[in-house]
Amino acid sequence: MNFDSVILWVAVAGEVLVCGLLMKRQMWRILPFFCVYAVWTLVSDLVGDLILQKFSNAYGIFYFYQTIADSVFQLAVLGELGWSVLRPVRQSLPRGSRAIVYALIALAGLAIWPLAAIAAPQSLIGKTAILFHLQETFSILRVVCFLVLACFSQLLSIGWRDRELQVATGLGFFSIASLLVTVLHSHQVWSPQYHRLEQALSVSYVCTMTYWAVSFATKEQERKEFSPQMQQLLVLMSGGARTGRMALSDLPPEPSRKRIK
Amino acid sequence: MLLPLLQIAIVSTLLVYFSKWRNSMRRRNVQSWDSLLCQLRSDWSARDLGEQFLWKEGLNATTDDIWQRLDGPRGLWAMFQNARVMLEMADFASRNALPGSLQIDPMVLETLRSDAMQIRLCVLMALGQYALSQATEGVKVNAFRAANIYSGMAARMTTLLQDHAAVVLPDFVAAM
Repeated sequence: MNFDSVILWVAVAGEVLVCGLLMKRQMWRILPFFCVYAVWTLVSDLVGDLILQKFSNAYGIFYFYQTIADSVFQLAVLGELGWSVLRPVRQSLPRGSRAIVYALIALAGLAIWPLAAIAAPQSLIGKTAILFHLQETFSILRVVCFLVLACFSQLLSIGWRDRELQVATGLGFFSIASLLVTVLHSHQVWSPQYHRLEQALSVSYVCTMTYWAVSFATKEQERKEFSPQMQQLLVLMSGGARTGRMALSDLPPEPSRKRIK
Repeated sequence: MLLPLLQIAIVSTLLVYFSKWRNSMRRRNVQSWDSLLCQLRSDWSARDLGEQFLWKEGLNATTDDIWQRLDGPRGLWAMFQNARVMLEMADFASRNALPGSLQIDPMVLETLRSDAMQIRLCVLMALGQYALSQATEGVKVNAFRAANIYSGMAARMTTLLQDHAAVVLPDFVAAM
């Protein structure tokens, strides 16, 4: 068994563990796309290995379409994370904000696409060039999205829940690692060095899986004391909103208006 | 040779920023209520904003007066930081309130977040404009809006402490 096979099977074991923990923690309730993505990576890795063993000629085509599907899933996960960060202010957002978040990410991807082409090596042609271009675009897009989310949440002081932060940490780390590998790839021709970098990226993927497995295996921290006095403090700081709301709900229903003839 | 090094430096900087941001978010999720209260800025006082600051909502002064009383960007920055603490208080409440009888009305948290975010946005706009064009009318208007919301929140907090925790009121008044 060579090093590549060892990494593959360790990664698959990590994916099985992460999928199991996601189900156990019922995380599809808060991050459904991420759960689907985790199952997708497991299934595609297993199917990919099977095709490589049995029909090695078809593996190139499989890898091409698998990368495209993977990119679409990543887009959905990024949108989901962006939307979950906006959770504390969702009520004050207009309708259709969720679609706007996804549209903005897709637009950012479209804007990055031509920029990524500049850095692509000229020696690549055909599907390989498209594949490299796609991977580079999504590497940049992921990092840009995380950067925007981090800056936005820091400026407006929006908090992240533990599980969302864990997912973002794993994805963010892997995104930066893949961007670094992509940058290095764009400055080299095909060589053994290329394969070593791919192996390094696979190792970073295994690290991400290990982090998620450890994080999801740990229970969320217990609630801290929140006394009625603390609650009272918040109620008063938030002003008359509640009073106004209660007063509105206490009002008798408006009598039906008679039609004036 | 220079371009790859520059690109690697940028990606490495991103990695450092990302890990720092992640640690600060993690710290934020585990902090206690007391440590939150301690983070309110005590080295800057907003009591000069109005004659009855802390006891009455709303400001009765011109935008120029408020700008001077705020001590310019220093006061703006202090309000920006205190608004962050208020947002973290709201997060603490929604994270730690027990489901059931002690559950907080989401409207209360929403209002608190909305006020604190408005303060931060107004301060950011004012500071951005100030950096570009010094103290113009636009800067002062944004500073006034931030100070107005801030004084409202501070006055409501004072009333609460007066009614429920008179012992800590002098400390709070001194801090504000």
